[in-house]
Amino acid sequence: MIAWIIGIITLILVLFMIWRWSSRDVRERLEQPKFQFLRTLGIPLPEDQPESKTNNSQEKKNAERNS
Amino acid sequence: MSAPLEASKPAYRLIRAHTYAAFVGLVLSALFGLMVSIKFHAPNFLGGHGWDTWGRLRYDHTQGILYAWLGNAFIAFLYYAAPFLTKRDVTSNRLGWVIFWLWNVVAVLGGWSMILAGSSQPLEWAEFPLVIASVIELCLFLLILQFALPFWKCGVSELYVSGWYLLGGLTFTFLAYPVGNILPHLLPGAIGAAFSGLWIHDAVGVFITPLATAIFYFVIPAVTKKPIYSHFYSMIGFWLLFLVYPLNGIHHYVYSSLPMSAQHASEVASIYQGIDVILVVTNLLLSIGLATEGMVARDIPLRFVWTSIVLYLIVSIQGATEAVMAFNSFTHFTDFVIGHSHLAMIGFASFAAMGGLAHLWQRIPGVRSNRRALAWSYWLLLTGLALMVLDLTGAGLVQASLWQQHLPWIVSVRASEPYWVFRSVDGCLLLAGFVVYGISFFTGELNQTSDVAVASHEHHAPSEQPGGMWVATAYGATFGAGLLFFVVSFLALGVYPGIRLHEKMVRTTPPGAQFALTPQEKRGQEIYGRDGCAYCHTEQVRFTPADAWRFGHPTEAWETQGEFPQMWGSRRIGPDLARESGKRPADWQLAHLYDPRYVVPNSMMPGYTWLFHGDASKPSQDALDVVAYLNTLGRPALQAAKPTPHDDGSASLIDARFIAPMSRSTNDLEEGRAVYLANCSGCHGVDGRAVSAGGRALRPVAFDLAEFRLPAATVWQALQHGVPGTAMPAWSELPGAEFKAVGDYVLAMSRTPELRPEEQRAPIPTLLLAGQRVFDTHCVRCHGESGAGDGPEANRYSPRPANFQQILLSYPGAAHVIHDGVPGSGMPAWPLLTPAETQAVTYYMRSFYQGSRLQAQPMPTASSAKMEEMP
Repeated sequence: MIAWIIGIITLILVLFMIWRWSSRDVRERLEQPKFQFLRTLGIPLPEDQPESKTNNSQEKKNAERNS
Repeated sequence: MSAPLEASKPAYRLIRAHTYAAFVGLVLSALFGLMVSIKFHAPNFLGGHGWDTWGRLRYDHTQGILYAWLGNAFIAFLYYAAPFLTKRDVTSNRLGWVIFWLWNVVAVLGGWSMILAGSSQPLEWAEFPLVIASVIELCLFLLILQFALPFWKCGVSELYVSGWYLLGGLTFTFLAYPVGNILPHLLPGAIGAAFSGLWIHDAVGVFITPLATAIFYFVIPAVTKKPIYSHFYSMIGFWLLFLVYPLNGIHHYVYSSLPMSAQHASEVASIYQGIDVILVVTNLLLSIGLATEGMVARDIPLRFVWTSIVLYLIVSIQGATEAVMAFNSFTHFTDFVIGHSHLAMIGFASFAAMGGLAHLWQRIPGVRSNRRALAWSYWLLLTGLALMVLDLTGAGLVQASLWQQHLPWIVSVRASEPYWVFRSVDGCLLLAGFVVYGISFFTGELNQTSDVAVASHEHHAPSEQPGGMWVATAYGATFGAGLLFFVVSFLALGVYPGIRLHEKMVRTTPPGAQFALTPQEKRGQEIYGRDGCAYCHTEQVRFTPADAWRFGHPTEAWETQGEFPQMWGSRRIGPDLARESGKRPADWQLAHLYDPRYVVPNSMMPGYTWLFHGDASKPSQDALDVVAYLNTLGRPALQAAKPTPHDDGSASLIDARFIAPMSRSTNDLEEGRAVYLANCSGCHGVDGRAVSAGGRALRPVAFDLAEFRLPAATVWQALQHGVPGTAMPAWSELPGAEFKAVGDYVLAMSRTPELRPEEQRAPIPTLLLAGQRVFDTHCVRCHGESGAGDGPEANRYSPRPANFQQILLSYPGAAHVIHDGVPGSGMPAWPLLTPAETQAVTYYMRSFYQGSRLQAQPMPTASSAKMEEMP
């Protein structure tokens, strides 16, 4: 019984990992809250400043770094 | 569609109130802990009253740390963090004040007071009485109303990981709290223990750990002004925590009678949990390391947090290692575990809470904060903690080693004393650190920070954002799975073992086994529980060779059916008491309870003098009740046990090691004297005359080793098997050399010389005849015609009448006994006998003595035989 529980937990984690690896959009979405949180704290992000807006946003960089 | 939100801001007054309450709770709880620590090496320190006994202060120490300190600190942090995480105010400030007063006045102050007054429950991390536990459960529900609703409203797809931890911590604690507080009262022994184990671990796993981790994830980006390394990995860590942590609980009862499958499961889950912590800590350290250059050194709150993260990793790996059965069999119940728990509660939880409070305090307008004092507190606390953990770890390894070596229990207590003294010194350092930490909140510069309102954002419904629906659904489903897994853990590690145990109990309970306690025994059980006896004396013999050798047959599940609640314990400072029934007579227990050093020299157990009317021989009803309860421990097994070969009364057999030629070298006698002083002098007195307070408190009083001579065979018999009907226990656990040395010393300390046969007789026949006449008149009914203690009325007495074939009397000794009798035995006083009659009967009784003529045959020692039987 316990082996089943541990196995199911592991399976859930593996599914999460596969889901995350499946698309860049999901990766970005999953990292979104940490940027939102900084904004809430009043800390500006590079992409919030007009001069630093680029196609490769910090969010994407982080998402790629963590993928 | 978008919904603009109004600006929200932290509830500063509530934050301040909970922070002040946290300081008071921290200092008082630490003071309780310091007093507990001092009592280890000065057991009579602040003694003599019920309210300040070791057990009650210990309860207040741990409950204070959990609720008064950490509870308040976490709630203060919640009030600060929730608006930033949800962009909403908490549900109601008025509700906040209701929670504040309920938590601090009713739960904490009420709980502390009730414990000191003698109302508590002997359940680890659940010592507050049930009425207080109900208030805490109510507060947990109100905290969910206060904080979880705003979290839930803000949409799970955008919820930052700190919010998840806060939400999860509140929800799961609310669910887990009744498991450890109520169920053990309703479920017997082993079944209740399974649920107790769940809560012991959940108190740390689902209350402290999530709230401390929420602080990590909040403070790091707020200080570094950079996002954390990976939000996805932080969420993986979060889910693993809640899915796996509840499965750990039973690792507190490894090698017990709980089903082995559940024990193995907790072992595997503990290792899994250690892996999760490695993931979490790696993510956190990368978040700090990537973003800062020397910021940890500059920002003291961040330094507290960073230290807490590192110690979280260490303590988690340590904990996972302790759960491994091979390691557990060695270190469990020792101070190694106490070192681990202090590392967790101070190094991890308290450092996290201190970092969080210091961080928010520097951002609250109109308060003072002293950076220098904060830095001082950091170093004081880190130094004190490091010394304490090293000290307790060392003590634990020494204790574990000594427990494996088949030495008397008291040896491990004596060996621990220097470590315990050092712990008190460490405790002073920690207390100083806590005080300085508090000072840093009241001194220093006034914060010029303006009243911060959380920036308003347009909140997008998850369904409006690409992928938002999927994320929300996935997170929501996983949170549901978390709740489901909590129920599953409850089933797997509580209900399932309970069903298995119940079946096993039914199958293995011997017919006619009696578990019900009398009203007196129940009262004794309550006193035993309220005064924390189970926190020093475990009530379970584990299935390990060392335990079985020392305490007897391991505790079977069926034996525990009468335990409501179970008091298996998780620390052994004194010996296990699961097999106490019939082991010691009530008079020994009473003398020991009044002042343990009466009968156990160098014992560190506190005296329970308030249970007596000024003297060990004048016990109150409470003392008698406790002793009655002690005599129930292991009673069902005793009733079911069949006589063993050792019980066949082979009194004349003698150990080969003891019949070896007596070596009376000075060194041997010195060693024997050392063993005697360490183990025997409490009852028999330093000079063997048994006039010590302990010896006189026993019934019968302790044997006078100076005025009477015993042959070697009798001394061996007494040492090996104890003396039935008296407080003399068996000392077969002594190592061979010490056993022989103390036996030799006892023989040597007699002031009555060994006599030649002709010297035993009266110098004139008239005296011998007079002695015989007195003996036949007054003594023969009990002591028998041959003086062997086998007269027609001998069976009426326990202990049996003295056997003068084995005891050589001196005139002063005999005169003393004849004149005063032997209190607690069948020997009455004969004050009307004249000195001449006493002298005559003494001569007559000496004529029975056979001394060294007693035949003896070698046999293996009981202790070594038992050792060889062990796997």
